[in-house]
Amino acid sequence: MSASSKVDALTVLRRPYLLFSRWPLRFLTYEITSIALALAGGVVLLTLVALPLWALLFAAVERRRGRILGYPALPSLPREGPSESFASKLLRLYTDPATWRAVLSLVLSLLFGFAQLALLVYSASIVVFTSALPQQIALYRRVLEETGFGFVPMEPIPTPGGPYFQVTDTTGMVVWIVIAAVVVVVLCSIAAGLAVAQVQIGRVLLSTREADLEQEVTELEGSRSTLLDSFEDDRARIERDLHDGAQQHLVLTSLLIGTAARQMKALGDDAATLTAVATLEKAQSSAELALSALRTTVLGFYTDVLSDHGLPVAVEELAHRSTIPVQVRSTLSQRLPATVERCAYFVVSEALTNSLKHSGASHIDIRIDDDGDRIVVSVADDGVGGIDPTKGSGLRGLRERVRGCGGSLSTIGPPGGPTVVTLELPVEATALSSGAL
Amino acid sequence: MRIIVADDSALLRDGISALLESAGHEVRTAVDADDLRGRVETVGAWVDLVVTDVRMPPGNRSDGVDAALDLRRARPGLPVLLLSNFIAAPYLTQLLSDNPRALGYLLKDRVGRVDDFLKSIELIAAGGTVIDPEILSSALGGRAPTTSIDALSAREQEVLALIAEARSNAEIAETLFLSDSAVSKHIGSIFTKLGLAESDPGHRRVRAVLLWLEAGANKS
Repeated sequence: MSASSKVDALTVLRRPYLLFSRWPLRFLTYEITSIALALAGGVVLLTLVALPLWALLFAAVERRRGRILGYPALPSLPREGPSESFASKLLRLYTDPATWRAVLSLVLSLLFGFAQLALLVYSASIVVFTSALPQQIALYRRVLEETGFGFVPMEPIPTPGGPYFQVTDTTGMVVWIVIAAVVVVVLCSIAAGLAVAQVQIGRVLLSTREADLEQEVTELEGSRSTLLDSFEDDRARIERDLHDGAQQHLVLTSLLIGTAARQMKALGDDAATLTAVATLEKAQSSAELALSALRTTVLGFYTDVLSDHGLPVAVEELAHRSTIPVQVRSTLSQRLPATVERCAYFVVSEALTNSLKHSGASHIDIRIDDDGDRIVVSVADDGVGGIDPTKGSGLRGLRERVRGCGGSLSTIGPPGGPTVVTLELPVEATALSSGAL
Repeated sequence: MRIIVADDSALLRDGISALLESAGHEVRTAVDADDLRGRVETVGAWVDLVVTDVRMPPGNRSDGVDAALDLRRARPGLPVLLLSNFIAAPYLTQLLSDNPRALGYLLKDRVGRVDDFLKSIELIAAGGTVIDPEILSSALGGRAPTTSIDALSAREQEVLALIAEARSNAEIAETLFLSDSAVSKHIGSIFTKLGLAESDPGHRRVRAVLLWLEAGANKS
């Protein structure tokens, strides 16, 4: 209808006789094409969205497939965080570069697969054709005998840009077989080369994430030890500030009070003077208490003994301040790098505090052993035990700290005791020799 | 008495100087460990006693202890009183094993007890050993050893007193009119009775001295 080209659907919808025109058919046609497009689009979209999932599935196969060619299977990468929500898993799946490397690997697998297919088909056809040659020649001979002249029964296969190669007798056949064999060997070599290339590329694509992880771990460890160092610096600074500031003033206060008391006493021994002297005595006691409290606080930070005298002596110092008997045994014969000493000292100090606070122990044993390239430090008490390594921020903090200095911490603490905290710390050989006093 | 006071804190240096001067002593001051060494060398025989802070520049560690050891090496028997903010027993052990005579090691708080402090100065100048009870008990590991001193025979106590004066075995033998082997036997017996383990032979003498000092402190 000519009218259809002049009006559009919007105008038509206002017409009362709409149902009796061709328009419903046109609407229907349009709707059907909409549905078809939606379905097609859906399939495309779904394929694209699901691509990473497929790629990961293929990657899993790909990681193991290298074994055929003598490569060890790649470890499948951990992708499950503990108690992660489905949404965040999905998000991580689509944002993880490893996923997209797997997609790339899938695409490359596709290309390599088709290349291999082409090579295989080509080689196979050569082999099949060559193996059929004797029959062809036999046929040719029979025709020759029957007809008496050189009739060629088959159209020779034209080779583009080259002369025809026509096999008509045994010599030709031998030549052809040799050429075919060489071509097949070359094709097989190419196929093998492609296989190796594919495996190598696949391994690079599918295992890079491990390196990423390692780098991430290294970075984290680096930033943690920087953090720990800055804590250490802060502690040292606070300790120094207290020493240079509050402590000095308190000592001077005590000194001045003492001097004042002495001067008062020199004035005479009447009741008023004696009362004043007694007050001064109280003031002095108070200043002394403040100093003592300050010293207790600062002792927690105090590490000069450690840096001056080494780990065993510093640990002895800790032991001396303990309220229950502590035995310290050390087979350490030389000084350790400062970082190792500080880490070990911190662990012993924390473990000791824990034992004193929670275990109800009557005896604590501390051992420090030199094992060549590492030291082993253990703090054992005969208390109630029952420690849970997963609970309590103290133990977790300790573990963090130990990991920060490259060591490992193990705790044994069954209910009923005993509790043994063991620290193993590597000691760099170079630092060992230079760390000696 | 002529005294050199070394402390990096001007407040305390002046405070202690004023106190010592009020007690009739002559005082010169040093601001750090190197200054102290230089000052003692310059004044030569003038100085009768050195009062020094433990933690001082340039190292801000135990520089005072190092300076004291150096000074006493150059001039054996120079009376030194160390003042420390901390109970750091290893330094005490270090000083005592060098020579316990004419030596003092007190917490800084003690200067406030003016009379006791001045008495300690006199004692050290006279060749005595004055150790802060808190540092002493820390050095002994908080154990209660007084009974074991009493378990020593009169002769062993005499020997121990001489050990505490940093006398050698030969000198002890000479003083007490004993043979060298008898002195060794007494010393072995002292170590056994005081429960000093074989494992730390270098420290046994020092620990014996510490026990002796503590017993003395408890009696007085």
